[in-house]
Amino acid sequence: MKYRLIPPFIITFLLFLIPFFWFKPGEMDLGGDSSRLYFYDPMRYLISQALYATSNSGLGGESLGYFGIPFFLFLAGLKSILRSPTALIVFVHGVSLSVAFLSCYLIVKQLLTLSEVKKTRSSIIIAEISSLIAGLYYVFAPVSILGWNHMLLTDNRIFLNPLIFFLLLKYLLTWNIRYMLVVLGITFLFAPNFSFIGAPSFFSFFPLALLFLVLYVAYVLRKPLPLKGIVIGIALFFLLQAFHLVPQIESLLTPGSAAYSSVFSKEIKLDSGLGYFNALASGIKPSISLLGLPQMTPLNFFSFTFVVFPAVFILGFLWSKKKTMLLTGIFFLITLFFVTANITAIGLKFYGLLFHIPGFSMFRIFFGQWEHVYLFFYVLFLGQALLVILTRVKKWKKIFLICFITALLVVGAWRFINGKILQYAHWQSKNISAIVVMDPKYEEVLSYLRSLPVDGKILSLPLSDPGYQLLKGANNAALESPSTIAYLAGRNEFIGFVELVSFGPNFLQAVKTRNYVAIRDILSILNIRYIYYNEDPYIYDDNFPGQPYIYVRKFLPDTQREYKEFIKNLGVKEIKTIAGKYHIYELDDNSYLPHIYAARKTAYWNDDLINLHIPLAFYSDDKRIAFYDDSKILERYPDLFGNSFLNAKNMSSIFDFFKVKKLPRFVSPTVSQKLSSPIYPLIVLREKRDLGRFKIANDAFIDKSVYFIEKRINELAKWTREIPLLGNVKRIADLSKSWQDPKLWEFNKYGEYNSWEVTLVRYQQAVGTLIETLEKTTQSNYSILTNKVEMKSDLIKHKDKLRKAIREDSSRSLNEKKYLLNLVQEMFTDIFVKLNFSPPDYWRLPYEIDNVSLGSAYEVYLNKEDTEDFNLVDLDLIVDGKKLRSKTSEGDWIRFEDVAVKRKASLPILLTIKNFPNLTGQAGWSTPEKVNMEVAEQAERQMVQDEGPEKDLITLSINNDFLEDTSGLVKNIRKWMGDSIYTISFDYLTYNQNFSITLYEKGGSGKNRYIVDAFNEALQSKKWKRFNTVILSRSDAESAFLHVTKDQDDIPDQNSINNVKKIEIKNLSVIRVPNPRIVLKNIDRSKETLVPQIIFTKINKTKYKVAVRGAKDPYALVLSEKFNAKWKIFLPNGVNEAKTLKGLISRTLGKIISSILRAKNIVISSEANKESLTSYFNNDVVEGMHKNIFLDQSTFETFGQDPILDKTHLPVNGYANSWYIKPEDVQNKEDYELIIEMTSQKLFYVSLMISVAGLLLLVFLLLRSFIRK
Amino acid sequence: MKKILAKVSTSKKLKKIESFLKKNRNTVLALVTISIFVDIFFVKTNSDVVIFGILLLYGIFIKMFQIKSRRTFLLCLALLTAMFINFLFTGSSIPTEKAAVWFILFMALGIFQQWRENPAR
Repeated sequence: MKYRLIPPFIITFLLFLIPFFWFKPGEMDLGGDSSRLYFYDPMRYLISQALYATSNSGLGGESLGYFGIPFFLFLAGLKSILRSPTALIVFVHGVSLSVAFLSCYLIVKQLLTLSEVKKTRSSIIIAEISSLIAGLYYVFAPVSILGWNHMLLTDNRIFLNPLIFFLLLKYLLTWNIRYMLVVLGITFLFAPNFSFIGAPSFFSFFPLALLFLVLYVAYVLRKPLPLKGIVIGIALFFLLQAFHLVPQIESLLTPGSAAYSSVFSKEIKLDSGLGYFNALASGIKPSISLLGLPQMTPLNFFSFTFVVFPAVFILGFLWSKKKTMLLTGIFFLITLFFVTANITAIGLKFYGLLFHIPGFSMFRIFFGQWEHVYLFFYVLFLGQALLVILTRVKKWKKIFLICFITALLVVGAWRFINGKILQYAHWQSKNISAIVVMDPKYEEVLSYLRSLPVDGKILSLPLSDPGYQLLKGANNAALESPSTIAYLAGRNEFIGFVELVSFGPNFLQAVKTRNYVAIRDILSILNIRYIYYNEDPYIYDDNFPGQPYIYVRKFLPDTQREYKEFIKNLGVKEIKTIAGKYHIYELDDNSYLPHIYAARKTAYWNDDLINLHIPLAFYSDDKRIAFYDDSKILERYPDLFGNSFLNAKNMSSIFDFFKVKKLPRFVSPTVSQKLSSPIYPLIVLREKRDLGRFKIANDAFIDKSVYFIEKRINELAKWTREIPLLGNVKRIADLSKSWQDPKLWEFNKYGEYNSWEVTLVRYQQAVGTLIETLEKTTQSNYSILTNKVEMKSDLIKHKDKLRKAIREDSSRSLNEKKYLLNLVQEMFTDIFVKLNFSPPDYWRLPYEIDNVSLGSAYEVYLNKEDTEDFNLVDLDLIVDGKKLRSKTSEGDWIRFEDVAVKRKASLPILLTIKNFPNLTGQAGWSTPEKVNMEVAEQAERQMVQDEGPEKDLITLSINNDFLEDTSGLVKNIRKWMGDSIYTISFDYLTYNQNFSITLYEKGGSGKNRYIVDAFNEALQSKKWKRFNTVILSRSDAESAFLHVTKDQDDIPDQNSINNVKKIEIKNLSVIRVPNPRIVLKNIDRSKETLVPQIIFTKINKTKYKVAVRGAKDPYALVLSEKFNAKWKIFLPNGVNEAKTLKGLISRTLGKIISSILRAKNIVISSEANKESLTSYFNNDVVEGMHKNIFLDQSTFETFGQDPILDKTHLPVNGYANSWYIKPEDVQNKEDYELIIEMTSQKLFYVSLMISVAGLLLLVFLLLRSFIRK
Repeated sequence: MKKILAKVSTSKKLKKIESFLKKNRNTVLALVTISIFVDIFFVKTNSDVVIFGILLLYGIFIKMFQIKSRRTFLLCLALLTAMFINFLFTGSSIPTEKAAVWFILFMALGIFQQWRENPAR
């Protein structure tokens, strides 16, 4: 009997040892996205991430990471014994592997033991072997091993699921409360798996597992359930988990919170949940799941051998009838459905319906989230089925099957066993390993950052896209992880573009244009005090061409050398260099806005505050301004604002050129009935009926009309040869006057459809009708111009399609082709005339300000930079019908005469501009290679530029056999800028030959430089024609040029000499359409108010004490943290006690705990700053000696107190918190103290007490169970 | 409803059909099996009507012919073989997935049947 313990013991021990061979000393596997930084420094991670309710990422905000406290403490304890992070990682890996195996082995053995009636020696051995194989399968299965190279915090489920299942099974079988208590202890220790972030793994496993256990005990074994114990267990579970569940549930039930949205919002449920599920579901294969293989992963050449497992299942059912196995089979099928989804259309539909349940969207990556549960029941099923088969088959077959399955598992998992599966390279890097040895010098960086005295945020450079940090290890690997500065140094930090949220695009644009003033303004308002810069080329230049810098690289410096230059120009002071490559810089006191300050002015900005540089530019001397952008605030508290800014919106219809209609466009229609078909008139009738069904001419109607219009073209293109010509029509427009659709009863006229000319007539008529409808209708969600732009694009395609069809029709004579091409050309000329498609008046820019709710005299400003191409005398600004003269230049702005504006719904403004500079310049046309087009072939070409009788007339003769970018002539455009609108116009004459004009844009940086054609149009004319177009340049375009090439002839010109073609161009003009910013600022006639002195001290990340001195006037107190209604202000010393029962209880509880803490002198804190006080703005703001106290006698001082100023707690500066404080709000005192506190943290303290009580109860019950024994 | 069921069960026509089916039990079951394999190997579209229609028919035959779960599991084994062959030669192609779905559904049916056959613990 004893010897039977040896094999499981050996396997467990071996599995525990395996991870110890995976890594060299110092190497760390930090899991998925290298996010398991707690293995590197669990204690620091605990302090930074788990103890407080606020996030260290970028702007801050609520972040509830309390669930990690017991686990991180446990890891910290382990690390103090094991000393190195490598040892800690392999130890945890070893425990996971061995406990997972052992638990599965024990579960299967338990199930087999209970289901076997006759217990012979051989049956016991077979049960033993089956259990061992089942256990091995659990740890070595393909789906199991695949997860090991991107482990996450909740992936302890690998061993937790079977371990807890086993202990609960034992409890239900034995009623021994100790099993239950151990389970509860485990859930407390591994709380992340029972928290909000562990919800998918928890809800996928435990409901099913518990149901299985209950059914197994009650209906299979027919044993009673220990209901009392279960109730006690559930109650204790909630007590133990209260410390993270209570704040989380409160947040979950708070409308507007991130947690609430993630569960209840329709967008999350349906778009992110169901939408994601639908996108994935079709790729999931039931066969792969049946074989126990991972989905969406390349398969091994021996994958087919895994068919042995479903075969074992079926043979198990064939040879045995046991309820346990049937029950397991049912759960196996349930989990198979959840992991696969793709089982019949009804099944898929049902699965989709589940996403309407709040919270079910957590299973959108269903095949990953249900994988472990499926694996678990697969294992239980396998163990039982294997026992049946091994009992039935002969000895040698038995041995073969055991050896085969074991070998299959070991061979399949060999890359896992030898650790290769964990040795992976970073995605999109140049094969840079993710298994990193931390640079010991970097620890000095973290330590230094922790010690920095000012409570400001840090900007990390090089900036990344997603907020990941790159760091070269001591080996040739790199750490690409969430920021170590935020997660281990506990500093609020911006390391990714995404963390800059709405400020990101403007920040990047400012960096790109090297607008250092704008950059400094953004840094100020975001409370960034320090810049950390890692100059190591290893982490930027070549090794990481993609992730994590894909987007930001378009704007930020391309190399580390350029980065250094950029930082130098930013005007920041270097305060520390470590190891020659880690630099820390500091912004000067004048640029820096402290974490908490009293605003010198309050201002209303009538637009989204995403580019704070603009309003801040009006306050060059002192940036302590509180900007509000919510019009409701202005309406509610009009007295609050010293200044009011009205940002005028450019209403020019030129922007309509670039609006893309969001309707899904149709696929080009297929045509099946020939024009000669007797049922063709019915098709015509159906089209009319379909269009007639639309009661209004909305976007769907427009789309449908264009669809039918395109059908005519497709008919002509498909049956080009078969459709006859009338041959006697001069212009389609002429025929259109006389031709009408035959009536349904006019059978004799049906044949009229079958001709080129009539089809073109029908086409032209349909287009004409649609243009008329567009001009009349207001039912479209888009402007007439947007609709016409889209229509023009369609018409050009139609024209090209027709020309191609005629050109390639070999059945027609040259004259017939010429005849047709002429008709087509003339028809489209008529259509484009009817479309009346000329660009809007770009020299006349209408602006509008909506909802002017504050009638006042306003100063009027026009941005200087936006109008630098023009002389001031060429600009006319008319506000509300009054023409204003320019007065002075003030910083970035040109100030015009002041204007008095009354309250009104809309204030019209008009800016007219004269004398636009033509960007084509004086330089002539040149050959492509002169502008570095990187052409592959050289063409013979000849260019003749003749100064014609008219000004600017240029005759271009192009002589070569090549087309497009290998030939032609080009002309550079000066001062081409990104994200700008340009109009291009000229007159041309091509003598009926085909030419093409293309606009190329150049841009990008470093290896991402590009030349792309931004616009192309065919040119053909018999007489002088005007060409007009409007272009929106790419955001990162830097230059552009026009390229004229000859286009393919519709009819080859036999008379052409030397294949030379001539185009004449005159009046070429390229103009950048300005979009100047116009701002109105009210004339501030309010008396100058005194700004109080603010002395603030950080107690911890969620609590600040603020001493206010000399507050005679109302002022706005700003806290530069992401706005959250849970930030509250309290008055100290019990001044504002809550008069409710809840308040009384909280107060009493707080006092009791405080007195205990005082009596025992208990203080839990991490290091505090020892440096001297820092002050700004002539001591108007002083930073105190910041602390990091988690718990002391003052922790509960605001318990049972009512917050003040809730009504004037408003979002400010586009993200931050502000309170508008009047003297009467603070008992008319001038000097007083305030406490700013995040209330989630208060709730956490209460729930922590509950959990501590639960833990004490658990220990007590556990001890009592031993004593009683 | 009960009356209608009673009428249906006593309907002479239905009894005739039942006795005909019982006489040709093996042929009928073979036809069901063949239709499943035809669906797997030759029909390229998925249809729930076909799947659940055949499944319902098979369910009726279980009741009519007193088919044991063993026979259903044997059919499962055949479906698994079909899936295996398809998987071997075509990977996770449409026929492979169809065979897998048939296998899963018949396995569910087999488990249901076996549960009703009062198995041991």
